Amino acid sequence: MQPESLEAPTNRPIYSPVIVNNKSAHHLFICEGYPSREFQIFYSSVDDSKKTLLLVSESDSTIDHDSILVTHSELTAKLTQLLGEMPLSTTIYVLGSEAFIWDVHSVATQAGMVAEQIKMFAPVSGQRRLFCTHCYHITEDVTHSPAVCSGCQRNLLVRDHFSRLHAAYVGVQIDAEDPDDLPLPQELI
Amino acid sequence: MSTDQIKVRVAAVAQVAPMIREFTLTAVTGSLYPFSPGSHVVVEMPGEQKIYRNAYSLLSDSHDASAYRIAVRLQDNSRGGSVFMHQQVKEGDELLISPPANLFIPQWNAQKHILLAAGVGITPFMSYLPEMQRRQADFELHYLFRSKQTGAYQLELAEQLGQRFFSYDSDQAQRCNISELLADRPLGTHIYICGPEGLIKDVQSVAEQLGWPDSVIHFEEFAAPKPGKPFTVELKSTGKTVQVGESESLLEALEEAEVAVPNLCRGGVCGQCATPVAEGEIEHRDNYLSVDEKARQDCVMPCVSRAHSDRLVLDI
Ligand code: FES
Repeated sequence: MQPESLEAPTNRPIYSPVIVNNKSAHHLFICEGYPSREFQIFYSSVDDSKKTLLLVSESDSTIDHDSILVTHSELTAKLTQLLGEMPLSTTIYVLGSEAFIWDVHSVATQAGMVAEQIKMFAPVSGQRRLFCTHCYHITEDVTHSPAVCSGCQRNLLVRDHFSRLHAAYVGVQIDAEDPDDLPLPQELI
Repeated sequence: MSTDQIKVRVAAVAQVAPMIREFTLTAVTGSLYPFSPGSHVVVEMPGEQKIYRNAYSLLSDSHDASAYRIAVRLQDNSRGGSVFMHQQVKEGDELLISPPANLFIPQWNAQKHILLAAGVGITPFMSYLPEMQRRQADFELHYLFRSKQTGAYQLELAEQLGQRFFSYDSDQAQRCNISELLADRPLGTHIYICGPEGLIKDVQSVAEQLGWPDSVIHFEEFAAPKPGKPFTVELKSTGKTVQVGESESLLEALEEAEVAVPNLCRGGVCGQCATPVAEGEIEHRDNYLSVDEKARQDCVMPCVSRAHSDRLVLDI
């Protein structure tokens, strides 16, 4: 039996092509991991005096001696500090996993930025951050549904419902009524 | 009287500027609804020939809903509403008002709030200020007025706000330079404007040159519907026709003919009154529909917009 929620209307963010906002006085590029070739070309299309590059990675690899390198755990503090020094006319361009780009979105919004200032590239992978609606635990890098919640070990159906607040997809227990009725895992796209 | 209206008593009337009167309203029975900073109420004013309804911002601290205060400027070419409030309404009178609604909410994520008020446009900020002070928000109030007509509350504001208060009295040739006001603002700044269309446009054009994103500009323009040439409106479903006079809005004419249209701001900003149009040419005057939506000519905001053609058929 197919669980009916698989057919529920989806609520996934839509990512439009990203272009440079030429009206901006400053451009902040943020990339998780090693920047793709495309991102590098995009980055180099902007005048040096008007841009900042923030790389978020656990290993120290730099492509540009001017870039700022931080780990994931340092991101919020560093980004908040950087934004505090930038002009109102700033645009952010962010590349990374879906959870990552929405984390950046939330830090930027907390700093008073508005949605049109935050340009998001389509996520680099189909991996999802999963929010368990039963124990509120977050499970990172989920690739299949159902997935096991790392908090309560329940089998969760990964819904196509994206919560911007948690930067995560919502997961609900799938075998609550009948523990034997567990569908085969399907790859998330 | 529509069912959700509240009956209030005018507890006090005060002249707060040469052309501005303040009214304190208290509940006749029970208590008033709580409200949030930036809220307004629509006051019903029975004029000699017809009923006027205007939206007025609540001036008081949102933590105190024991009374509502509003301020009304006597409009030069008033259609009757402000004249009624200034000449007829006395202490002890009763009025009907709508429950508070808010279309001008402060953005609490902002790092800096620039409040720009012109004349009676100070009113929505009177409810912002206590809350901004409580939250220790970073703000500046820039107040443009003509002391021979407006400028209500300027002395108390100067005293309360100190360094955060900037006044520009054009009757003393003091001008506010919008380019300077907007220059070099840090990320996280939001601006709120309450004043005439011209001021809003000036800010928008300077902001555009500076590369500001549109969404950091918040404005409220409670312009009363401007008069226009009379026309006839027809309801497609029943064939009923209603005449819209020169000095009344389409919404008012419909209300008079007992055609109910939901509405909130009565100033062309909220979109509540959107009504489909089947035939006729619309003269759009609202700030709600996009340029594309306006071009489609299939939807009208009757609180402010009118018809270019002699006849307009509403698809209701
Ligand atoms: S009532 Fe708000 S747009 Fe007409």
